[in-house]
Amino acid sequence: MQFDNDDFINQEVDVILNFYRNSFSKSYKCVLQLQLLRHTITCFAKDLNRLCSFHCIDIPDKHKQVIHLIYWVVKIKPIHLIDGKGNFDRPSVPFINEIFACYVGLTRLGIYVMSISNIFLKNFLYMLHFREIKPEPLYLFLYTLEKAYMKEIP
Amino acid sequence: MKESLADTKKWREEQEKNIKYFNNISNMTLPNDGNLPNYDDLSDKLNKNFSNFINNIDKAVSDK
Repeated sequence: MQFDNDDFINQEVDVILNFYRNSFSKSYKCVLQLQLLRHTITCFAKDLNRLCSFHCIDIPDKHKQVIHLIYWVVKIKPIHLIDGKGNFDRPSVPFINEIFACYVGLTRLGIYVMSISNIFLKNFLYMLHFREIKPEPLYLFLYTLEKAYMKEIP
Repeated sequence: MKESLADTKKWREEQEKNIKYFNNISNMTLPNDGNLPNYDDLSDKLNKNFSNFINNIDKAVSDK
């Protein structure tokens, strides 16, 4: 399957944009740059293309899709803060793109986010914000998380 | 004595008989069972839980 086409990219952009406009933007004084979001999703789609081409597969596993999406959101940071003065009413504001990526990614993976412990979330956000990450070594991390959530043996 | 090119080729071919195993390993594949999400369902889920999640995140970030 080819991913870097308008159908796939528009579908992905619409779902993310719908969530941003309905929910995310109500919690933070921020703006989502549409051009950067499209760029983020295009990079994500190209990663999926490369992955499929290299491994001769049609559609990559869910956990692989998710970590590539998280990676590009965190790298390109399509959400920006507005009104710098007095904007830090929420302690999580500095992690705004990481929170967005984490929430969209985990939900896409089928994980009910409220069932994840705060200590895990804090570590996950810390890793996305401060560490250098690459998607490929994190496939197994998300696979293990998915299995743990489903109470299956990884 | 200097080894001729033909000798080197012969030596290399002899050695390669023993490393077929590695050639096979490089063709190793991983299991894959992927599909795309149901986008309507995903959209519902994304909008459903966020307000609770964000309060949790604020707490998680502030916790010492």
